[in-house]
This record gives sequence, structure tokens and C-alpha cells, in this order.
Amino acid sequence: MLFYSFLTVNFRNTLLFFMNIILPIVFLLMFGAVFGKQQSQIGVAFYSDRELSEVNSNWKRLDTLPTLEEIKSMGNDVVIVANDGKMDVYLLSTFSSVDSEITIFRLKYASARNEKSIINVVEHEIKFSRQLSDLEYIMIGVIAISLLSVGMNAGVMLFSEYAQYGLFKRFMLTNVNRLYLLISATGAQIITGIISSLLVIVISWLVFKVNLFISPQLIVAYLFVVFASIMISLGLGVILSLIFKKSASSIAQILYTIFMFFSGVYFPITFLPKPLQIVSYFTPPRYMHMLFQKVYGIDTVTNQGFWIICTTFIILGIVLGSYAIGKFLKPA
Amino acid sequence: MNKNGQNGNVTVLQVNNIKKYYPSIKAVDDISFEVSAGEIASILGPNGAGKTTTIEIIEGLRTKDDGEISYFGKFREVNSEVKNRVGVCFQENSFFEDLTVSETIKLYKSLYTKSLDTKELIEIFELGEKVKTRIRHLSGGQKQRLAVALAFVNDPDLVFLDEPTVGLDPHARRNLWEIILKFKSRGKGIVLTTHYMDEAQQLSDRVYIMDHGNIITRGSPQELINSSGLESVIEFPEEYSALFEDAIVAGEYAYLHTRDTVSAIRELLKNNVTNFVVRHPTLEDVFLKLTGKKID
Repeated sequence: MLFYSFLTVNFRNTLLFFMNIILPIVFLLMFGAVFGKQQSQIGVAFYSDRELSEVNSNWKRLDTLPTLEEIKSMGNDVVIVANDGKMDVYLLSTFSSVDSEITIFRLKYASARNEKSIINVVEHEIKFSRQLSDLEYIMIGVIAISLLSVGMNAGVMLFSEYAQYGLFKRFMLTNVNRLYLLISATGAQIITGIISSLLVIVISWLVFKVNLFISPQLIVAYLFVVFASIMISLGLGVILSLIFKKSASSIAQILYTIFMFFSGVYFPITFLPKPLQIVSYFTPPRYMHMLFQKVYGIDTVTNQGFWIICTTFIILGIVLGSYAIGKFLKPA
Repeated sequence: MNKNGQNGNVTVLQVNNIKKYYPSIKAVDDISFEVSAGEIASILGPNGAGKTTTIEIIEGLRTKDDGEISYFGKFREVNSEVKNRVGVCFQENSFFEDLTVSETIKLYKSLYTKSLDTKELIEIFELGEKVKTRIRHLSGGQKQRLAVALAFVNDPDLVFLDEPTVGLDPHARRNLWEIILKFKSRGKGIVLTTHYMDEAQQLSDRVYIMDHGNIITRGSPQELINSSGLESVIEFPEEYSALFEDAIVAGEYAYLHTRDTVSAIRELLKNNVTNFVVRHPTLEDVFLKLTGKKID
């Protein structure tokens, strides 16, 4: 019932609903509108042993037959090698579908060879770091930022407002224990976070045709990152509540804006002056963004690093949350 | 025997010599009292007298420096069993404002091992029409009624009600008094903190008047009135207080507690004071006499 109460409040409270659900969608639509046109600019390079006419002007023509190492180092999403009546398609990004254009290319190549038979196409998925379009990069960032909002606001709400107005005092007189309270509060935030991120994914797809849907085998990793992100954000909310008490809510809003600036979500951190780049290392959203990119197949961090960051975030969240609940439930 | 003629001989709360000292003040200084089943005990006192600290120590919200407390016949700390048998209504109550009345009652029920039936509680506290209303949309009086209802949600044997009728209109106050008396008749021990003297006089079996961290007097309302030595009280405008050496000024009025009513009235009339009231002493007069101030 406590879990249900926290969850219900998240969706009924106007401010929380705005911060948890509406604001990420506003950011999504705002940045999507700015960067949306770049979505179709998928980097494609091709080599053909025959002269082809009217190939997409955005595609890069290669003059010599590339080696596999060269293909990997080109930084393109797709490389097509049409040679000796055969087509090798190297997919370096599974985000972007160019199937229809590959079909047109195949027909043109067959025509250039004066062959009516079907050209044999072999697809190669190259398993190394992918390139994201600006829009994909930002959409993933919006998910990270939405979870920051969900977790941090919950931390502030719980340990500043509820504690301040005596709800915790009332709970102290019941048999509720601190673990149950923490699990209920964080559980509700995790569900809210999942719903918020799912909405970002669905709207990204519906409005901007950006496919951020997770393959079934990655769902566990995705949920783990959601959990870790909520926990560290909750922990941040706790720290703010302990330090700033009544003004924690206002400080959280300011910090949220600062974090967005330093997270590298809306512009690359390299745009910042060197001293400010160092500050970004101390902002959790930067790591949350990295973790989500990792789930989407980008090598932002090693596998070991991924688990270390996630586990650290979760432990920090639990420790801070338990400490704060213990502090507020302790007799004066 | 208490007011309802029941034997309130089962002690549900016994407080022995509790103390709470802060560096600059003795908030609670060696206080002892007890509450029996089916009894309403009121703690009265001016602001800063130590009432809230005393109650919070008993509830387990504050630690004590010394003394011992027996809950339901056993000296012990506030543990899980005690929490299950104690109900509390704070003076200022906080809720999940976006839950409905019914959801809030269910939430609190879920935090105890035993509880009253939700329907019964809603019926007793006349919250039926508001059962699906979110708390932020309730009036102050409705919130107050809900807060008192939550104090009884776990069907407690001992209940602390801190200013339960504050902010209610006179009709709603009387309704809540009836509800409190109904629970008393079910054998609940009730500790009431109130600044409404008429409320304390109407409801209490025993009254404890506190000041400066001490209980300065105790007894039933009638015993306190009888033992105060007050025969009658004359209430008149404060600008004439100088007419009597022992008149107590509180606000716009002066109060004279006297056995020689006739002489006092003669003195007032001699000075052309005609807007005075002569009445029997109340608990409020006892309080005024003992503490020298009207309760705020």
C-alpha cells in the first residue's frame, strides 16, 4: 500500500507529473525539432567495380577496394562493397535502416553489369562501437535526464517535504520499517522511471522515427541502468534534503539545470572550457548517459566499467536513502 | 469511577518521573501521571509548558533523560507491540495530499497488524461523502476529522489527541466530542491535549495542568474547581483592574476570584462599572489562577 501511495502521488501530483513525465517529453520534442532533420543523414560509403549513375549524392564513393580494417576506421554507418558481381554490406550501425536504398543500389549495380540475375548480397554486422546520429544521441540523453528528474525529485519530496511536514513523524508511530519505506519509495520511482523512459522511446519513434526500442536480450541491462540511475538520483535528492532542508526543492531545480548543462546530453562536453569539463566528471547524469549509450551498443565504457558504475550508483543510493530514513525515523 | 460510571482501573499508561533537560531549559522536569482504560486524561498548560515534549516522549518520538514509562502494564520502550496498540493525532497533521480519504485510511491500516473496518471508521467520522476526494481538496475541518480517524485506525487501546478540535466550528467540535466519548466508552484510554478549557471540562476524567515542565496540579475538573477555593468569578473591563489588588488581567478583561462577591460588586458599582459578569468558576479560572495567564 505504501508503494502504491508513492506511485499514485507521482502521477497525481501536478509538479511531480510535470517533472517526471511532461518535462522529458518537452525536451524530446524541443531537441527533436532542432536535430530531427539530421536523422536521415546516415553515413554510407560504397565501392563499386562498375560505374553507377545517380547514386545518392550524400553517399561517399570509394575509389579503391577497402580492406576490413579500412571499413572499420571510416566512421560510416554502412559501407557497401560491390565487386565481381557480389555485394558485401557492412552494417556498423543497427539504428538506421537503409534497406530500401541498398535494394536500389543492388538494382543499379546489376544493371551496370548487364545482368538480370539477382546479385548475391552478404550482410556483415561489425561488432564494434557504433556511431549515433545527433538525434539518437540526444534521445538517449533525454532518457537519462528524465530519470535524474524522477529520482532527485523523489529524494527531495521524501526527505525534505514529507519529513518537514511531519509525515515521517507519523510513520514513526506505526510499525513501518526503514527498509520497507525505502523499497516502497524507490520501487515507485523505478516504475515511474520505466514509464517515463518508455514514453520517450515511443514518442521518439512515433514523431521522429528514431528506433530506441531495446532488443529482448538487453532488457535486463536496460532495467539495471534505470535502477542505478534512479538510485543515484534519489541519493542526490537525499543529500540536498539533508543540507538545504526547506529550500531543497528549489536547489534541486537549479542543480537539475546545471546537471543538464554538464551532462553532455545537449552538446558535447568538449565544447566546454577545460576547467568546466573537469566539473562534468562529478555530475551523475554524464555517467547515466554513458551507461544508456552502452546499452544501445556504444562503447562509452568497458563492460567492467559498466557494472562498476551501476553497482556504485546502486550502493550509494541505498546507503544514502537508508541513512536519511534512519535519521528521520529516529527519536529526537 | 470515571464520568461514564465505568471502572477505569486497568492502567494503560503509567509515567514515572520522566525528565528531559536541554542546555537552556528543563522542558520536562520529573513528571508522573497515569491513564486508565476508559478514561480521558487532559494535559493543559500554556505554550512552552512542556506538554508536547511530554507527549512526544511517551509516543517514542523523543528520548527521555530519566524516568520510566509503563505501557499496558509493562515498563518498556516503545516497541512494535506498543505501536500497534497506540493511536496518535498530532496538532498539525501531514498526509499524502494527492491520495483520497479512502486510500489514506487503507494506507494507515496497512501499517498496523490490526485495524478497524474502513467503512465503520468512515461512518463514525462522517467522511462518507468525501471518501473519494483527494485530501488536498478537503476543508480544514474535514482534514482534522480524518487525522482523528487515523488515530483510531488501528483500534488502539491508548490514544493521544493533540488539539483534536482546533479549527473546527462549534457544531463540528461537539460532534467530535461525541465521537471521542464513544471511543472512551469502548474502553480506550485517551490522552487529550487542548487549549479549549470547555473541552477539557466536558471530556476529561482527570486533568493535569502543566507549567514550566512540571505538573502543578491534578484532579478531576470538579475537584480542581472545588479545591481552588474560588467561590465566584467577576469578569469586567481591564481598565478597572486597579480597583482590586488581586485582579488578574488577561486580554481585554480582568478577572477577580473572590469569596466576598457582594463587596466586590459594590466596589464596581461605586466606580460606575456596570458591564461586569458574575459566574461560577470554571476550569479556565482555575488555570488562570494557577498560571497567571489565559491559555492561548
